Amino acid sequence: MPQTRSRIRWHRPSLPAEESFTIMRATAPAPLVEREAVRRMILRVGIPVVEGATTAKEYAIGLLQLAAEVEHALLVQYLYAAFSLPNEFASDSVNYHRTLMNIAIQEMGHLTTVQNLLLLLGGRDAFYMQRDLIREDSDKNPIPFVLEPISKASLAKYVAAEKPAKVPPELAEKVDELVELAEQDSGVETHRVGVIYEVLKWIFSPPAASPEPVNFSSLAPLPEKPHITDADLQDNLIVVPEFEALRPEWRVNAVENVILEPVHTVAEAREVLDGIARQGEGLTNGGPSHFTEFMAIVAAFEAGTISVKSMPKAPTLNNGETGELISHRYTRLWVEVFNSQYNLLVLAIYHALVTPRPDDGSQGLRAALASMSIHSMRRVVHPIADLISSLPLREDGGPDKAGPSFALDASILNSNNDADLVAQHIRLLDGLKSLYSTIEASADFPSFPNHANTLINLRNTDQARRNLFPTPN
Amino acid sequence: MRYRIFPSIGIARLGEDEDFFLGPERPGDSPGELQADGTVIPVTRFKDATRTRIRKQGARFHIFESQDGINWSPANLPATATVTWTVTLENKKAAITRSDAPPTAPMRPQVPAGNQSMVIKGGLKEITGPNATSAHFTGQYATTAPSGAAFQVDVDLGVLRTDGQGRLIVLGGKGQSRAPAGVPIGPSFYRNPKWHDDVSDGPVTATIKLSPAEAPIQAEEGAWVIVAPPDYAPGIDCVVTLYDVIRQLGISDSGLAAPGIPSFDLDINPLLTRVHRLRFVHEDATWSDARFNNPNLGSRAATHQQLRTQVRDLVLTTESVFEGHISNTGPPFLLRSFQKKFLDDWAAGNFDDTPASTAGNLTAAGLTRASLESAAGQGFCPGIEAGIIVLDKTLYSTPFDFRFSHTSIKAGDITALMAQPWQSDFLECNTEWWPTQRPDIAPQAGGGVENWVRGAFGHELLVERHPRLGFIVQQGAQEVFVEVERDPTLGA
Repeated sequence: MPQTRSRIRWHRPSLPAEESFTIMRATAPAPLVEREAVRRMILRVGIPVVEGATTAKEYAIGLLQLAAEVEHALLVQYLYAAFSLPNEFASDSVNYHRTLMNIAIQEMGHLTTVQNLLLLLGGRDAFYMQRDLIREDSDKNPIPFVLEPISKASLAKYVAAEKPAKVPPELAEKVDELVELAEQDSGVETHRVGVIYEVLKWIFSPPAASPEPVNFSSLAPLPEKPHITDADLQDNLIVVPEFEALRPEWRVNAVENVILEPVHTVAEAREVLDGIARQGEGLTNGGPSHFTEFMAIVAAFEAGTISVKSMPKAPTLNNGETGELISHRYTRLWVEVFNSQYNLLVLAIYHALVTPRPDDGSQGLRAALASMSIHSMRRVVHPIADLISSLPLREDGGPDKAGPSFALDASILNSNNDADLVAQHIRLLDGLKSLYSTIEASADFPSFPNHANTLINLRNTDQARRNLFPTPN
Repeated sequence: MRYRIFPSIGIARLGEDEDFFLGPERPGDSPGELQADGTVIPVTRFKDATRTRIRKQGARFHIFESQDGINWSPANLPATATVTWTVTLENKKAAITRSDAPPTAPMRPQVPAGNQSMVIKGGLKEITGPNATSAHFTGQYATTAPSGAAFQVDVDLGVLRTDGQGRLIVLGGKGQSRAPAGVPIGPSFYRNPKWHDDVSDGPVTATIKLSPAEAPIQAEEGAWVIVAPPDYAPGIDCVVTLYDVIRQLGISDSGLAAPGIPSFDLDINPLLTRVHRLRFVHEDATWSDARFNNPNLGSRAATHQQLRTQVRDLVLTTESVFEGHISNTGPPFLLRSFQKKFLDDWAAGNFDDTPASTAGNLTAAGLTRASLESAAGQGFCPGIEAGIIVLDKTLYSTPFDFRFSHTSIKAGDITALMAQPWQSDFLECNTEWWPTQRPDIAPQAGGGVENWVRGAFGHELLVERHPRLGFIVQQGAQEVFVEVERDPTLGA
């Protein structure tokens, strides 16, 4: 059975007097500036505490599950934002659609590397691909999970989520303005996710490591022995190589700066956590980061160089949910198709992760599922999102166009038993088969002559997916 | 009389077999089998009998003459005339300063002083007269193994031949890529240090002596040859070809006249054919759409405007299916402006429906167009035959006629920034980039479709086994392409 989800509460420490914040002068040594920045963040956000965790291993697994949900959520939000931009150069000769797609793919790398860390600690049962279960328990998410086309307010939220603890002075005023805008627009305090990785890095540090920015043990109820040791790790000669995600099978080599690393030791774990932190959400402001990418997009947006497609904010198929209801009947059918395909994608990634790699060097089901997932990202999810964004939002007319709602059924990941997972695939595929027929029978279908080609593509892909699971004789 | 060489840029392709065929010489043609009289007939095999060695594709160059420098016709040289050809070939791919990802804008390759031993200098070869063969372009490649041991090998970049009429044929290397023992290949699709291949490029010149006593006449501006990786789907060309890319550059930046209204037979139908033929190498259902076969596509009647508009949109679907550069500052995959204008004009009924054909005698413009239309112009990340460097307008001689200036670039510059080695790009960029050269799928003669790269999916495997992969080839005169000549012993 897969690992049950953890519960996280955010503990806001009451710092002793000597730990209170002081204004650091610009001339202070860098470690002191970093320490001060981390402390400021902790005072504001708190420290994520894994409820019931009595060991460093349980604690780390809980935080990694939270990290997985955050990465999954950001990945989807950034994809939606990318879908709202045309795949072409803006007037400043930058393709911002590609910028956002690359950031989303890098988030996918983070998510997969987090799976490798979970594997290292908990084995096969620890893989965790959920998106909403832990996050919804807490208002300490970096930003609310809202799908939005690119706007200054949406970009402000991404900046708020990805900004380092110590913002470069020349950007500080602008970042403050954006954070304020993000909080006004979302109605809640925004938070950096960096603290999750900061605590994880500390847990993966040796007990006698050089001073970290903050001693988390003194600030929150962490386990008595809060540091991971080699004794906490799975067998890295048998279990880990059998299941770890590797770059070739996930075909990330054709994308720039994707972190997807195998992890076999505590030191390697700390290194990849630091890499993820540097690239995106973390507190270490080094190298190209998502924060700097988003600041560049903000500048371009404000300069009027980016044109944005008309797409809804928080599209939904469900009456009563917050967001913009997709009421056009034909469009709703395609959004249902999208959601089923997205669920199939998440399911296939999870299924691939929990499927052992054949030891004879052959490809096997694992590689086929991984390959199917790559195909699905490129040739199913993206094209259907484009198709939906050209369809009307409302039944009663109007110029507004729709967008995919990315609804995820958490129950598809309830079991890591192979037969159960196959059954989930087949259930979703059967539902899609029926949906395609309904679309073809719709009175609107003849108005979109190219939709027939899309259905052919989908049926071909679905059949290839079914072929992975032969029906027993 | 003035003389020039055509095509202005010729495309040869690698192959281990010394036997060769010729690249297309008329727009829309497939590669040709050279006959004794200099004519060509369709190629029937792309490998030797063992199906483990690919035949080289030769690039043939012709001399054209003109009184006015505008209208060019095949040179009508006297029997006393001799033509002396020279070609220089180099490969500097392993020697240059190379980033982890292909350039996003044109840049000139730089070879650091310490890397000169990794420049494979095939040297300058000369050839004269009919049915001749030159010495091989053999260069040396030297570097060090991880152990510190010296690694030095001779690399054959190709050889020159002439046909029975004394026209130049450039043949390239064997398609072999190597590195010192212990140097890994992968995971990069672009940069694999210390790996060399035998791709190359360089200038072509011709000196004409009308008789032994007369002074030699240099063919104006020369020409260029690119020795590229094999094209595993000859006869199926990119939606945006190298010709389209360079043509647009000429129109936008170099004074090439913008085309008028399009001809259905010469401009529109070839583009529709390229998109429709994608169905044999890429699995999107759009390419199989029955509307591509509608006999009314060439009709200007208003009643067919909806059909034309729909098919135009099918062509534009390529922009959302195929990948451009992976960087946000690299070019996305888009049709060229003149192509879009052609399509819009055609959809609106504003086109020439007079029957026209490119069949018949070879023409100067047709040779260049045929050569460059067989090469990939889309998704310069980095590309197949030539990369984003071709968008540098300073490369070209003026007045613009698709010709690289011999004073602007040097041998090896055009291919220097292509994937190192070429097989790594064929592996990693395996969907939505260049299925017309490196097919994604392989239709089978008996029905069904296989994965083209089966049995060779892996960096080392592709380096070793690429000659054993199949070719997607047209069957007779029918619009049917299937996989042939795959080594039957190559596993799934």
